[in-house]
Amino acid sequence: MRLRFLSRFQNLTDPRLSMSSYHSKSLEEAYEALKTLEILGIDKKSDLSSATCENVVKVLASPSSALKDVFYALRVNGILKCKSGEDVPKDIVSKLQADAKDAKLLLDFYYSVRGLVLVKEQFSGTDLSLADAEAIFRSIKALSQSDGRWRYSSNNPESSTFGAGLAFETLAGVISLAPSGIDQSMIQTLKTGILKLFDRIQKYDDGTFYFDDSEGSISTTASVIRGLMSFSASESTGLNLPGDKIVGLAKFFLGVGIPGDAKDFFNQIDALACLEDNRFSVPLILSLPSTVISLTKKELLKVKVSTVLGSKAPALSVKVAEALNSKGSSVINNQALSLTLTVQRTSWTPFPRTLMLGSIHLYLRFCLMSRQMKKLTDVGSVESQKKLDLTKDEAVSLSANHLQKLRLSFQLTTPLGLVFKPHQAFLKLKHESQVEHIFLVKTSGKKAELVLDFLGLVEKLYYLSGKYEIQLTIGDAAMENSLLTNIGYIELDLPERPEKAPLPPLQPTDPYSRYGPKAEISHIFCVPEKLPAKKVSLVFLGLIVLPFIGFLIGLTRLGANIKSFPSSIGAATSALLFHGGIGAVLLLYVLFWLKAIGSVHDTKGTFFVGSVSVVRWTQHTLSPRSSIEQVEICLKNVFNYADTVGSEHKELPIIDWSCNIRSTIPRRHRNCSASLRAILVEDKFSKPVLELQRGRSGEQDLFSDSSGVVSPSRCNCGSVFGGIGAPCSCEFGLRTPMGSRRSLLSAQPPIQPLRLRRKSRGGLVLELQRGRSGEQDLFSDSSVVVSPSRCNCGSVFGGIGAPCSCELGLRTPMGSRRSLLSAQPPIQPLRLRRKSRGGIADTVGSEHKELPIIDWSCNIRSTIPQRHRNCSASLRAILVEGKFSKPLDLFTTLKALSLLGVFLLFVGHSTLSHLAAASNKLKSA
Amino acid sequence: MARSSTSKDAQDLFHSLRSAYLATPKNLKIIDLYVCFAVITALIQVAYMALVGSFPFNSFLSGVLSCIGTAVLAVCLRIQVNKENKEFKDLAPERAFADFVLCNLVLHLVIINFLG
Repeated sequence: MRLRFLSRFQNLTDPRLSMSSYHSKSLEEAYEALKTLEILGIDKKSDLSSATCENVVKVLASPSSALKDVFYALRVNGILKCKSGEDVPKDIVSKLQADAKDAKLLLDFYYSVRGLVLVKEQFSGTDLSLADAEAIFRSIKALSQSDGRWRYSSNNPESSTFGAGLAFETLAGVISLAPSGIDQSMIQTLKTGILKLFDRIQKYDDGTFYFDDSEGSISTTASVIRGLMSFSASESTGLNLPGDKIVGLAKFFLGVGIPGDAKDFFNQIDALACLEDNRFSVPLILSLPSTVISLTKKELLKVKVSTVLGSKAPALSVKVAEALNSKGSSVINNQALSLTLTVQRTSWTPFPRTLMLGSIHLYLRFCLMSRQMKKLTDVGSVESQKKLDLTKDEAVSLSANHLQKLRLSFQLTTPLGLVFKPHQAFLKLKHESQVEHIFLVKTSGKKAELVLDFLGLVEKLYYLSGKYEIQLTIGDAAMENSLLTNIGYIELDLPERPEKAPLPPLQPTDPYSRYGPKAEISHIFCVPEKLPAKKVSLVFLGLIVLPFIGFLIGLTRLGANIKSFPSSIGAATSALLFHGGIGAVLLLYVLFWLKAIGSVHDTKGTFFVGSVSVVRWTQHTLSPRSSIEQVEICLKNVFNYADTVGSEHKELPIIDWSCNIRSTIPRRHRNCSASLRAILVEDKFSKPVLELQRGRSGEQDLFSDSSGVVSPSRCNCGSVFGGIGAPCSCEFGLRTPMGSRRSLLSAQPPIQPLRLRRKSRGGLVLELQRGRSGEQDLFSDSSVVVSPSRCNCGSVFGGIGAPCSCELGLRTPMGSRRSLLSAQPPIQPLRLRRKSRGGIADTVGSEHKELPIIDWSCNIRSTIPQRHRNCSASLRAILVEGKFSKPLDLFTTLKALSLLGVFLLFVGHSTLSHLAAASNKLKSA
Repeated sequence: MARSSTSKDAQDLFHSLRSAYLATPKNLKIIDLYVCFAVITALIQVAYMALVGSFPFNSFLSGVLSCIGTAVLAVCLRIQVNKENKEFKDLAPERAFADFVLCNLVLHLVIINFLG
């Protein structure tokens, strides 16, 4: 490529350049010719230098020289070295500095600033800093347009892309001359201006890109490229330009041929030289020197990679992405035939003998060998890269500002050396003020990687500058040595907090207080409807009775025949039972409604009714169906304790609830899939109770591993028609924080109490209890979200006694539902019970009564009103019917009576019809 | 004059109605009494509702519907039991009464559940 240019250049331009006299030509043309020759590597300096140098020295010596002449003289001097060393032309420098200060036109800025840069490059030992660099930067920036182009002067509204290139060069000069750095925000806006300019790029169908303007496409594009190169060289954070467009620009210059004009030719060569060596993107050219390979000669496939001007490419690896034969089918697919190109040519013989014949389409993929280089393309410049050895106790300390990114990547291997993808990996940044931020590390392929772009995170970090502790958490159900480790520190320098930005949340002074009791969240039930005065109701009750009395009197007056009321003992009994049953139901409702004796479901109120069945309550506290080894079933006599529990419960949360766990597991439920299953017990008056408590229970902790997550799931509460007596069961799963059901990890959170109960009219009350249980506080994060959801509370037919279930979701801060992290708050014991009207229906064993459970504290209480009963999630609680107590209370007695009455009616009816048929027969006979 | 003749006509009408009704069989009279009893009870409940409001609305509804329902069933019984009604002459009165009782049971089963 270079040779081709060279030959063309010599043929075409040599006569015009070398033959002409530099005295008569301007220094600009001289510079362009010399620069072209320099890039192409043709040493013609000796023939040309004497005459040109003379001119240069003259211009530089005269204080009255035009700015443009001075600039080009300096440029030529840079190549020819006519004047150098310590011999600084002081007049020129002061002239340039004054011009830079007073300039109004873009070109004046360009000549003066770039001139100063050239002086700085060529003459050592001068202090050439621009005193008011920032002001000059701003006045140049003021000439820019919103579309990325620039005006030549503030009076001229016309803007140009060519000017933009000049402006970039000038600004790059200002940056390099500035004594202290230029404000990063200004550089940032300039970068966005560059990206906007790239939106104006023109395109040919073959992927060629160029800029067009009144100056002609070659000059314009070359000017922009020169500007970009200078800018990216002067500035540290790097430019992120689209790679395909840079390649397209290279394609434009390579495809444009040799221009007839010397200026265009200079621009072409200069732009290609810029593309060859810049800091944003270097396009490469791949070529296959020979496209025909003979296998019999064992020829090698040769690949050549070079830059646009044919110089050596950086170290690369080449990979055959795909090889297609003439039929279009793939013969090699993504084969790992990679090899390193240390020079610009490489060769290999990778083809298997099977694909030998015909033409083959090869798709090659290049990878830069150097990591540094790769990062140049993706992340911008990498300023520091640290490797950590976790086995040693070392910590990194980093510092970054908001324009930088933090990239963390790691790879886990199993003891066998295989790549292991952890289920969960988190990075936590913890500020000095204890404000924490958790980031999820994504695992893709073999590596887990996280890139934190602080620019996008400043808001989330609350603009808090300072030292952040970096903590890495890695966990998996299959991992024995889950990791929670401090990697080190990062010193963040973030911008000032704007007025409107949110303040960081206040952190509790006592870190343990987050596990302490929380304020009670109580549901406000709707205000009960006003009931009429008792007197009015009683008056109307009397009124209701009047028509009935009238009816009875009327019957006697009419002389109704009541002789046919059954007189035989059996029939009379069933008839009386039938009517008595209906009457009893009505009586019950009357009592209930008037609350004359309190609630029907109130154990005290209906004591006289239920006393018949009191005998049934003298059961043992332990059911023969339960196993004593693992389970304690605690029953409390409802008659004796119902009210006391109720009242105490309000003030001292459950002091006398002393069943330590635990749950009741009847034998027949032992084979459930979940590890913990709880059966709830029904109290006498229809309200089932579940009290499941997990946690510390003195010395007897049955769970050596207290890290389970209890998630009640799968509940089965009989059918809708099961009514009060139907059995109901519920399963509780123990899960590891990682979501695995079977295995329990150590170092996991205790479970906290959850309480769910049904209020008489107000719907369900869910009480979720969170709390500390002793000193063992394993958790560093309390941000779990409890969301009660999906409740199913029986059908209309179920009535008061129908089973009711409800689900609660535990979510991680990441919103994931299923898994809980080790860095998460403890989950709490679940308590579920159903309350009857007024009375407390609990069944706690009296023998455990003396051992109080100290750490029961009701922290969270929420209620699920009826309208929310069908929501969704993962904690499920069910109210269950008990097996111990199905006493014959008044209600069930009356119900049974009604059923009996119906039965008797059917019997009576069939008997009657038989009798009628018999009498008809007799009559007819 | 016209007024007295009108009232006399009304009296005559009333007397003739009464004498005609006296001829009604006793069992039908009992049913009529029952219907009156049910309807009056319903009216009292409606009056109560108008006075103090319909708060336990389902209770109110079930009370009124119980009365109206049983009155309607009683009317049906009366139709079936009436000897002069030739349409049901093949139906034994015992059978009609059993139907009445059964329907009442079903009605009140629903009503009790609805009562809440």
